[in-house]
Amino acid sequence: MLPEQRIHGLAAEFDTPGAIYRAAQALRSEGYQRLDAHTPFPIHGMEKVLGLPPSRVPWICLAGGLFGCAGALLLQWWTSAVDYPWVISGKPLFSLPAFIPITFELTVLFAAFGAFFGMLALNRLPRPHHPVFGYSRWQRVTDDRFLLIVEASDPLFDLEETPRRLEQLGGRHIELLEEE
Amino acid sequence: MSEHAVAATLSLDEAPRLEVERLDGARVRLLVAGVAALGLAALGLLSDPRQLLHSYLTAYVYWTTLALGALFMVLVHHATKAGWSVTVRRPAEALATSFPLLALLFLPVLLGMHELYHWTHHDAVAADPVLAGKAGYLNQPFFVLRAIVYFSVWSALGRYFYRLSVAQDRSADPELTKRMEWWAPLGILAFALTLTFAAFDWLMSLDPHWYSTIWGVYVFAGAAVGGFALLGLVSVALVHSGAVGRDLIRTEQLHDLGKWVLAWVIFWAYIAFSQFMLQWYGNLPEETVFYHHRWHGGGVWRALSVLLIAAHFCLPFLFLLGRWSKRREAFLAVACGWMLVMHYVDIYWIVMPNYHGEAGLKLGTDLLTLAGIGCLVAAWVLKRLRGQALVPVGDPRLPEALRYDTGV
Repeated sequence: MLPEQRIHGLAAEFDTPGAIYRAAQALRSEGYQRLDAHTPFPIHGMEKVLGLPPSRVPWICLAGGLFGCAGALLLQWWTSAVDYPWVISGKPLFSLPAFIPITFELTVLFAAFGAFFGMLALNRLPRPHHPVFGYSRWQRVTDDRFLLIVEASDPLFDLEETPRRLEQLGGRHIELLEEE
Repeated sequence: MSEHAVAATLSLDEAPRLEVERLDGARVRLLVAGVAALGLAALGLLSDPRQLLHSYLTAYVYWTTLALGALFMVLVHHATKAGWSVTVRRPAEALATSFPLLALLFLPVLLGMHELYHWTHHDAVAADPVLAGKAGYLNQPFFVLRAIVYFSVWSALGRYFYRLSVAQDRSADPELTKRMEWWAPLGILAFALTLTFAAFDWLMSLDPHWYSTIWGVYVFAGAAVGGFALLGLVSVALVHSGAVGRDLIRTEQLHDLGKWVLAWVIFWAYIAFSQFMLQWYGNLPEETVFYHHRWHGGGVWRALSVLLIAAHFCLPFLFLLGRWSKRREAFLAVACGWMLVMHYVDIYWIVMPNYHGEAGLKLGTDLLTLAGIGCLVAAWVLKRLRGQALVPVGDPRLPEALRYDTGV
C-alpha cells in the first residue's frame, strides 16, 4: 500500500461512453467533486457532468488579440510616423486604412497564440509525466476504453468506499494511481 | 448522449404549425397593408418619380437579398449535410420560395429603368466612350434577359428544396435528403453566379463608370448577414410565442444561429474593407468615385459610412463575440433585429447616393416601399407555411438536431 500523500487517485475503466457518463453523473450527485475522465474521443456533455468550470482560454485569447491589435498599431505608428517618417504615395504618415491589414493579421496571430499557449499553460503542458500513465491498461484509453479518475484530493475520497462504489457503477480494473 | 435522448422522431400530427385561422387573417391584412403602402408610395410618381424609383429599388434589393440569404442557408445546410439546423430550416425554405413574387415586384424597376440607370440613355452612351464600350453588356434587352435568368434559377432552387422538404414531412423518405444533398453544391454554384451578376446589374450599374470586381461578394455578404439575422429573429419569435417548442428549437440552435450571424458580420467587414482598401490605395479616379461620393459628397453619406463601420461591424462584433449574448433569446433577438436594420442602411448607402447627392432624405417613400414589399413577401411566406409543419419532421437528421451539444 502506498503512503497516503503518494496517492494521486483511483482509476476505473468503463466500456462505453454511456457507462462512464452515467458513472460520473452518479458520483457527482453523491457529492464527489474532483473527477477526471480520459476518453479516446470527446464525449458531449462530459465536462458538465465532471463539474469542470468554464474554460478560461477565451479570456487569454481575447487578451492576446487585444495585445496584437494594439501592438500592431503602435509598431506601425512608431516606425512610419515617428522614427522614420516617409510619405508613401501621398498618404498621411499615420494612415489607418493602410495599417489595417497588419493590424488584422497580428490581432489574429496573437489571439491564436493566446488560445494555443494559454491552453497549454492551463493544462500545465508540456509535461513529461503524469500519474495516470501508471495505469496498467493506459494504452486502451487511446483506443476503445474510457477511464474515470477520482482524485485523492476529493473530500469524499476513501480507499475502501470509493473503489466499491466505482465497481458498483460498472468500473473495472480499478487501480490506485501513484503521485509522480 | 443517450441520457439526453428525446423521442427520436416526431410524427407529422405532433409537428408544430401556425394556427390556420389566425394565419389566414394575418395574410389578408398583410396583403392589404402591402398593396396600400405601395399604392401610397406610388403617389410619389406625381412629385418625384426618380426619388420613388430609388426608394423602391432600395426596398426591393433589401427584401430580395434577405430571400437570397435564406436560400443560401438552405443550400449550405444540404451541401454540408448539416444536422443542427434541421429544426430552424423551414422558415428559410418558405422565404426562399418567394422569388416568383419578387420577379413580379421587379417590374417597376424594369419600367423605371430609364430613371434609374444612366446607361439606358442612348445619347449619353453615344457621347461617352466608356459607356459605349460597356454597351455590349449594359443594354436593355440583355439586362431584361439576365433578370429572367436570375429569377428562373432562384425560383427553381427555392421551389425544389421547399417541395422536397415538405414531401419528406409526409414520407420521411431519406432518399429525398440524398437528392437535395446532390443538388445543393450545384445550386450554390448557380446561386453564386446569378447573385454576382444581379449585383452588377441592379446596383453597380447605377453608377456605370464605376466598377469593383469584388462587388458580388460584398452584396452576398450583406445578404448572408440579413438572411441569417432574419432566421435568428424568426426562430426566437417561434419559440417565444410557443409556436415551436424549446425542445425543437433549442438554445443550441439559437446559439449556432448567433455564431452564423457573427461570422457573417466579420465576413461582411472583411469584404467591405478589402474593396475599400484596394480602391483607396490604388487611388484611381474611376475607382475612388464611389467612396468619394459617400465621404466628400455632402449630405448624410459620410455619417452613414461611419455608421456602417461602427454599427454594421464594431458593435455587433463585440456584442456577439461572447457566449452569453448568443444563448439568451432576448439578446439574440436584439442583435438580429439590429443587423436587419443595418442591412437596410447598407443597401440604402449603396443605392441612394446615386440619386440624392446633397439633397435631404425623404424617408416617406423609403419606408412605404420597404413596408409594402415586406408585407407582400411576408404574406407569401405565410401562404407557404399554411398547413405545413414548422419543423421538417421527416428529416433523417432530426434526431441529431434534437440532441447535439454546440459546445462553447
